[in-house]
Amino acid sequence: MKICRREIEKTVGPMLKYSFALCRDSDLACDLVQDSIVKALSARNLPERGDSYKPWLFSILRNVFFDHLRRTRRWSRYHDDTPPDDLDCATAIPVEQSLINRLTVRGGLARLSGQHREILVLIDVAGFTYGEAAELLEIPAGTVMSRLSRARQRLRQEISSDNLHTLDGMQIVQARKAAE
Amino acid sequence: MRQVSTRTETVNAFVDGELKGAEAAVFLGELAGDAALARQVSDLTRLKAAVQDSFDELPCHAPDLQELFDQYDAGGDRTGDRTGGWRTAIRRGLTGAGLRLLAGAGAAVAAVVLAAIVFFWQADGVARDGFVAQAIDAHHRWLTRPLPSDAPEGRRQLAAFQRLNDRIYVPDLSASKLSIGLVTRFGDDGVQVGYVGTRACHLSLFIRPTDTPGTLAMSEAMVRDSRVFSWRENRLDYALLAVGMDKIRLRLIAEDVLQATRLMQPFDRATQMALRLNRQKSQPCAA
Repeated sequence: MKICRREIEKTVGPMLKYSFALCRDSDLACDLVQDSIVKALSARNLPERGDSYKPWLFSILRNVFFDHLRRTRRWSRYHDDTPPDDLDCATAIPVEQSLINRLTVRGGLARLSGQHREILVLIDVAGFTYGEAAELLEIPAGTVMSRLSRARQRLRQEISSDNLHTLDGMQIVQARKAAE
Repeated sequence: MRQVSTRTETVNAFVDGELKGAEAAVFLGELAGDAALARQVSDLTRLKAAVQDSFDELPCHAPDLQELFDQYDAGGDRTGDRTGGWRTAIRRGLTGAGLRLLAGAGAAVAAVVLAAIVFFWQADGVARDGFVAQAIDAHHRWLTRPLPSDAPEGRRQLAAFQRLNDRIYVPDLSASKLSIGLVTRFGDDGVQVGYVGTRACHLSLFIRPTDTPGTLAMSEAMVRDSRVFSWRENRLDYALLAVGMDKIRLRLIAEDVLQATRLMQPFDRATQMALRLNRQKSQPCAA
């Protein structure tokens, strides 16, 4: 069976974004994706269907990333960096449109734990379904749902905590204060 | 640990298009009569769009797929991949093709050995021209004639130095309870940044511009009583060293400083937490 190059071409963009979300280093992100594609090209067992390529390629990329973590002795940090779950989920934090700009969200994402950033990028950016994400991450679908909820809650909190800074020349009132 | 409510998870699932059939219908019914729920859906939808938008640009150029495909094609038909090829050659009792393959492998091994020798020669390059030796001397001068610790003044000096060279990034090590206590010129065009801890720790970071391009991996060495980490990044030589500091703590700091100088960014929250926890577990400095 021949490898389907078109599927690789289609997936390389989301792979780069996912890779960057994992490692937060643009050069390394590119290297990891390249290594993953080389691995994919030399794989013996290929997906049978075109729609199976994306999870398969992401799975290779994830393994390549964790190999990198092991080599650089940063493995434990990826797993230990989940911030304490002290969110009060009953309190909705309103997010003003003006606050949601690219820089703020990027900053907020950068401050999330690796696991939270990963689930957000898989679902929101790479377009994984909950089932696909569960398979890739080797966790139950229920855990995907709860992790995603926490990640979004955390991201909103991070965005809100950024609001005292001036963004785009505009002094923004802290959203949480506005909510009170 | 508080659990995220299943209600919130359901709202997320709706926003992600994961509710199907009857579930979706029930949710839509609730949504029609619940303004707070509608607001929550709206917030989450915008947040999702914002996350997508923040990844609009690729973080780097995509790898040249055509080149990778060409390399793959040049490697032969995939029905006889590399592993299979080797196995087949051995099974055939090293025929002419097999011997050529073996000769090729021998040449490849020799090339790898040669490359490794060159790499380690280069990796030692930061140390070879006396940079590390000068750094150790400067660090000891600071230890024997300590200047009064004045962090605000140190930061001012550093800011002035950075204005002269915008490639220099000096990380904030306060997460490891180390504050800048010294900034001084090092050699003709370098800088020494001295960090002072609360438990007798003194750590120096030396940065010196170099004309030699490329990156050198971090190397660790024990020179006299100093543990030194040195690397090259972005035409700058770095050396980080301390005397009598817990080596695991120093190694962690060195790895994080390397990462921060590579990214030109402050430590993220996880790194700060790791430094803080590591510092709590570490012994005070012996020097």
